[in-house]
Amino acid sequence: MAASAVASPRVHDFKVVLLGEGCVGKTSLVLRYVENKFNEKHESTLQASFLTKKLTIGNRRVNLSIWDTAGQERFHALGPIYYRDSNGAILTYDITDDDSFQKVKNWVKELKKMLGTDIMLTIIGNKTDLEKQRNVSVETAEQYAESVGATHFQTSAKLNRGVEEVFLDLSRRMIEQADKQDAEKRALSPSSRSTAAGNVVLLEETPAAPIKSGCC
Amino acid sequence: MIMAFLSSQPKRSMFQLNESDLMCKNACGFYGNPEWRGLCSQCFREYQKKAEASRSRHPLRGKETLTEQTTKHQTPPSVGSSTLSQTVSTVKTALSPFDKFVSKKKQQSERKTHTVKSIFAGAAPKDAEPEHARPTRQVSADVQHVVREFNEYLQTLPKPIASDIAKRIQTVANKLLDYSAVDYSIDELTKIAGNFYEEFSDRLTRNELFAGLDEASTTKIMDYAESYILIRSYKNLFCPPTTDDEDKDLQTQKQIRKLNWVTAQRLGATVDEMNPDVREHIDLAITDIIEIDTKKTVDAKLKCVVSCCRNIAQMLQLSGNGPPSADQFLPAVIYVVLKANPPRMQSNIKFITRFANPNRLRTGEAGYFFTNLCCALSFIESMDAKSLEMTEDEFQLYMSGEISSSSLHEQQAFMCDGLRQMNKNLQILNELKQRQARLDEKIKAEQELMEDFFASCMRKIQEGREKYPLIVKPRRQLPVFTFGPANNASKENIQDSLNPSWADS
Ligand SMILES: Nc1nc2c(ncn2[C@@H]2O[C@H](COP(=O)(O)OP(=O)(O)OP(=O)(O)O)[C@@H](O)[C@H]2O)c(=O)[nH]1
Ligand SMILES: [Mg+2]
Ligand SMILES: [Zn+2]
Repeated sequence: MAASAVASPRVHDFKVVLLGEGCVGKTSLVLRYVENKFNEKHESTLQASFLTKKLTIGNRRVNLSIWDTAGQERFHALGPIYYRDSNGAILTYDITDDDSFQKVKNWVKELKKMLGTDIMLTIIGNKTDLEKQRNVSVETAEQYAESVGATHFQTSAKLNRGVEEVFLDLSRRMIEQADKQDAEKRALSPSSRSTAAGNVVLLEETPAAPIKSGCC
Repeated sequence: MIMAFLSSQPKRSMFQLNESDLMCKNACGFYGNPEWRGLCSQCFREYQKKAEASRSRHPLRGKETLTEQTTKHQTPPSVGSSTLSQTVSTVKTALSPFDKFVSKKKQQSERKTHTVKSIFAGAAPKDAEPEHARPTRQVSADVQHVVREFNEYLQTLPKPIASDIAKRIQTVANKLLDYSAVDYSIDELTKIAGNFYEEFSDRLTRNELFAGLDEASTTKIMDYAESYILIRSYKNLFCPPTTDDEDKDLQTQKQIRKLNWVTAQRLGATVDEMNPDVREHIDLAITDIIEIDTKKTVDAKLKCVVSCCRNIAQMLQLSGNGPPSADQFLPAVIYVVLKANPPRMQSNIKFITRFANPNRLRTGEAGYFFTNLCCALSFIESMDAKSLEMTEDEFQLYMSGEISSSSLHEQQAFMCDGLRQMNKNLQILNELKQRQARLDEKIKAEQELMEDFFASCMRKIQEGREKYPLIVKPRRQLPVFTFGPANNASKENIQDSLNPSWADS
């Protein structure tokens, strides 16, 4: 019935990890974004550690899975298990707390080491409503972000400033990256499969056929 | 192309994942593979040997009786004979594969009854005769369940789609089964599954044939495909002898036993263990995590993980930490794993990481929870003094059992069912007492209200009475009319009586 329809736009499932020191507002940011809620008192929905959001950018549909991570030092070694296979990372610091900014730098180093350039990084200075108590200058942060190929945003989860943009920009970059990876894959194995319209190619694989090596 | 394929393998239903079709043509009870003449690996080897003995070359081309069995062995006779439309039209009459899971005896006694009745009666024909006596193995209930569900779902799809999907899935399922049976390395098996998921999902999203499918259907198909290809080889893929999974399981189990003194508090989770409701969720979480091992599909295993983690989240919520942030969540998962000491945890985690559709581990709630479980296990494996923020000496003393946690006794006492029941009852009693007190208070208040009301009523009545006193005056005498000569006095009297005034005012 829908045989003549154009193949539906690809749906991207993106995994985004949230990293940053405790109390910088990671949970608040996501709750603001996903549920448009802000709790002064840190109490909210049952599930605050894992949230999803669907959005459409152009003709692309994106499903974001946003993973909160345990921030304690003792769990630091588990980082790689959490951010394995993620498409994006949001590294948050509190603009009133320089320490939290230094922590962001550590995370960036680690992510780069483990995942290279496959992962899209966004650095966020949160709590801009506390401008008067600012301890991390915008220039420093922006310069640093640029030097590591990350985008930098300033937000206030409390006043809902700049939150939407963070996720929109990150999604756009993840789509670009996915397209790039797709193109690379296709270039590597141009004849690996036929997707010619209408034709159903049924290939019998013999037991002796060498196993194709996929990317891991 | 489809037609070409169908005619190359005549008389086989393409879109039905019929278990009887999948069985070894020797009816030895193992699964067969079309690439091995529909035989299982063992029978195929024997067949090859025989064939080689009789003729020195081309074992695959050998015209043995087995070939005939293969053709005898088909399901609906018209399927695939010439065109796709024919194939489609026979779908409805094709036997439900589940119903073919009848005992072999039954299959042999009742033959060739392709009626609708026979579908529901559960009798299905199977012509293959056992050639050799090998202990027959029934297809397990788990496989039956997966196959039935998948088939039911396939029936709801347009036929070309269903047939394409079934064909592909069957191919890879057979491949996995055969390769795993001959001890292929686990990495190679993982690659077979991984490549399949990648190519298949690519196909589902990009190929014109599937353009009408929405995202939910695609996900569903992927999940069914995963269950199907894995369940048939589960015995070979789960904790295979080519790996050290079993050793690791034992190691982990031992480590967890040694760590029985670690409390939630030490891990950094706030768990109010004295609260019976919290306790209940801990128990549920423990049950869930233990259940993982009993499930045979990734989907079912992950459902246990999700249920376990939801209970953990609930338990944290009830312990009064507000929203279970990741900072609280992970320690709580570690705590539950330590409490449960689930069987074959490493094997289960390895099975899922190796063979699950990678996409579902990357996204979705199940992926998140599963990752937390992996983290918990990894943390436990390498748990040391530093990770618990204690000195090396102290840690060693605990590990050797020389010191035991002070709160351990408390915890274990609390674990005792009787005590727990008592505790619960006490709490219920307490609650009842409070409710009784509240009720008493309300009764008292109600009483006071009534009294007030009564008093105010009385007061009002009193006021009304005072304002409008009821004075009853003696009745006047009726005027008397007299007839006759009137004197002055009587004239007055008459006038009076003509203007009667009964009332006082
Ligand atoms: N003024 C102000 N306060 C904020 C903002 N965002 C978050 N907060 C507050 O900062 C505190 C911590 O926020 P969370 O979102 O819980 O921080 P977190 O990074 O998730 O913390 P952990 O889960 O402990 O790692 C809460 O009291 C929030 O109300 C903001 O934009 N402005
Ligand atoms: Mg948080
Ligand atoms: Zn056999």
